[in-house]
Amino acid sequence: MNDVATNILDVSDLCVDYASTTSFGVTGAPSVRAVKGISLTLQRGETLSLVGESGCGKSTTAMAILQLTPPSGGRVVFDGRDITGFSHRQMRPLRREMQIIYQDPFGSLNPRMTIADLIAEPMAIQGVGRSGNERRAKAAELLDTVGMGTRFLDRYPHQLSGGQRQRVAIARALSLRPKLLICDEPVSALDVSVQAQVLNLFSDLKEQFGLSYLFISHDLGVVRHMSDRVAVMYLGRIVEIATRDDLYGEPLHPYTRILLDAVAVPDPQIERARDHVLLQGEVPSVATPPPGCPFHPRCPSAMPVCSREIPPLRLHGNRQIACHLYDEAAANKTIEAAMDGNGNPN
Amino acid sequence: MPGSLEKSGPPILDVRGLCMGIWSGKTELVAVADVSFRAYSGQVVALVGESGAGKSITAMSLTHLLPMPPIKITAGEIRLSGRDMQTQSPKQIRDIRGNEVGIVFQEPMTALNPSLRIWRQIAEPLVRHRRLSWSAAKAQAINLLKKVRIPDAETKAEAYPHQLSGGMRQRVMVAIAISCEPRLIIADEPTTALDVTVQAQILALLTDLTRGLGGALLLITHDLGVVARYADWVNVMYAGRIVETAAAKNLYRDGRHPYTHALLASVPKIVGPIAHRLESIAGQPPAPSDGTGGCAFAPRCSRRTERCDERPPLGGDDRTRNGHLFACWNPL
Repeated sequence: MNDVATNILDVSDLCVDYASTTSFGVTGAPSVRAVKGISLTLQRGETLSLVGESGCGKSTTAMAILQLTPPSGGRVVFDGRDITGFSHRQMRPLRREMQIIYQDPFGSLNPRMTIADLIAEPMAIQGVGRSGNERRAKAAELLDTVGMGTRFLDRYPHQLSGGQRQRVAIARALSLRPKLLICDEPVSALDVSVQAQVLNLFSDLKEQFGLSYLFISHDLGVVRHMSDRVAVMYLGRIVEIATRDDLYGEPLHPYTRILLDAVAVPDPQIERARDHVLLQGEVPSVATPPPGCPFHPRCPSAMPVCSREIPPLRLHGNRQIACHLYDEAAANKTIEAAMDGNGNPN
Repeated sequence: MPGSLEKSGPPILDVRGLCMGIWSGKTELVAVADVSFRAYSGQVVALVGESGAGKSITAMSLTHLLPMPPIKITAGEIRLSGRDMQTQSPKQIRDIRGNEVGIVFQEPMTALNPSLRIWRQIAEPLVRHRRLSWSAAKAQAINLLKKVRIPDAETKAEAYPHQLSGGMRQRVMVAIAISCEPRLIIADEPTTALDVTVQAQILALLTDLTRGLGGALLLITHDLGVVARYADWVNVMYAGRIVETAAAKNLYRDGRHPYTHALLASVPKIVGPIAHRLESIAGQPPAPSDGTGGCAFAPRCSRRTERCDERPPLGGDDRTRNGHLFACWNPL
């Protein structure tokens, strides 16, 4: 699995705990495990998406990979280096190579800085470019790359639309020529017509700069468009991970099925023909997860074993799945996989 | 599932030629121009468009839920069950709001009062409009919580909004909206803040309840998937105007306005072929101040001709029927 030549990112058994504080900062209750043993790999030039509903741990996983939230267990290997538990100082030189784009382009850009300064700031911090003028020229070039004219250089974020701000955030992230770009709900705040522009920009930049993306989104349509592989998360765990075509063509985990079923397709004829299974209840709190499979209280296919044992993420055909429905099939495949040596289809 | 397009009786809601302006301090900006639509009993009617298209301001004007001034209705007519809403006194409007018209807002956390127990907020319209005693209204509130499928309704009735999840809060909003069995429910982006599985639950509930009451649902949304699944009739808005209006099945199969087409093409879907690039619309939606005399979509339109400097009227042609109208000189 630790194939340094092809994997830009290798995450194994990642766990993140949040201390649960009571009022006035007095720690009371035990900490909450928000991410429970996530393992995934991202190959060079690949786009892997994390999908799931709010609170499933998508963003926490991203923050832990970047060491912005300290992981409480597991390992993060970036570009062949184990960066688990690196301090901010140790991470600083690596930040050039791994950048993040956040959801809210209103909150992530300093309102008191001009666009030129915002884009140049990461370069200034990292000591890229000999002078302010050189960095400004680079900023102008980057604005052009993301489809905005140089006339925006001396403007402020409030003078820009949401789509333009997100382009600035992208230009800023690209300024250090990263290898890995983590995009955390990067188009959720945008209107669909503008969303399409920004998604196309992501596709173009991937080719132009040879980027690898870890793409986080709750929008299954967007994820299908962007991804090579998709990992579905529920309550801090990956429940299914497969290639885009396998996952959307034949979702196997009951949660993946219901999640896809809940998405309304913009076509009344298809919608009329679909048979909707409404999921009962809501996502439980990560602080009080149900015993056994975290999905079993809402699962239409739950069996007695599901409330007792947590199903591990196991190989099933070309995909990995954490569900007792596939226990026997998985047992057979595990042997094959052990001989094959790699769980990730290409 | 969508109901029928049969028009049973007169429309519950009849909006004609609605124009609204916003006073910016210097000039009056046109926020909504010449908007007309109707909603009949049993129908789900959608207003769909991107931010700034004028959907919410149109919906909120129906029950005078806008600050006037700076916002002003400059022309047009709004009729609810035949009554002209603009000639109603503030007292009469208060009697209609929450009673004949139920409203579900996007953000239940800000729409609910954080310091009142859940049952109290559902009971309030019943006491106000139906003259029930508080104890009778409380019993009714618990029934309504069961109707919106909140488990353990008796306990949840005593809770405060912050103790409920987002989906539960939105169910409470629905319970308040239907408490007086309104003829019209206005739902302004009712599920935008919710997860997709919860979204599906709430929308199914809203449409079922509306049809059960024989009322109409005015659904304001930017989500074309939601419209396809739940709406019978669709009004596509752009820059304050309706640019296309049609039965949902006609709009998606035979939409004529280039904006409708572009909007549909720009949504990444979970089925069908995957294009390497999405069809995007260049530029961005105009602000109310950008108004021109011509078609507002022209600057972003691939079918633009000289004629587009003149505003196209909302009309049909020999291919459209059953009230399908579009505003374009060069339709698809």
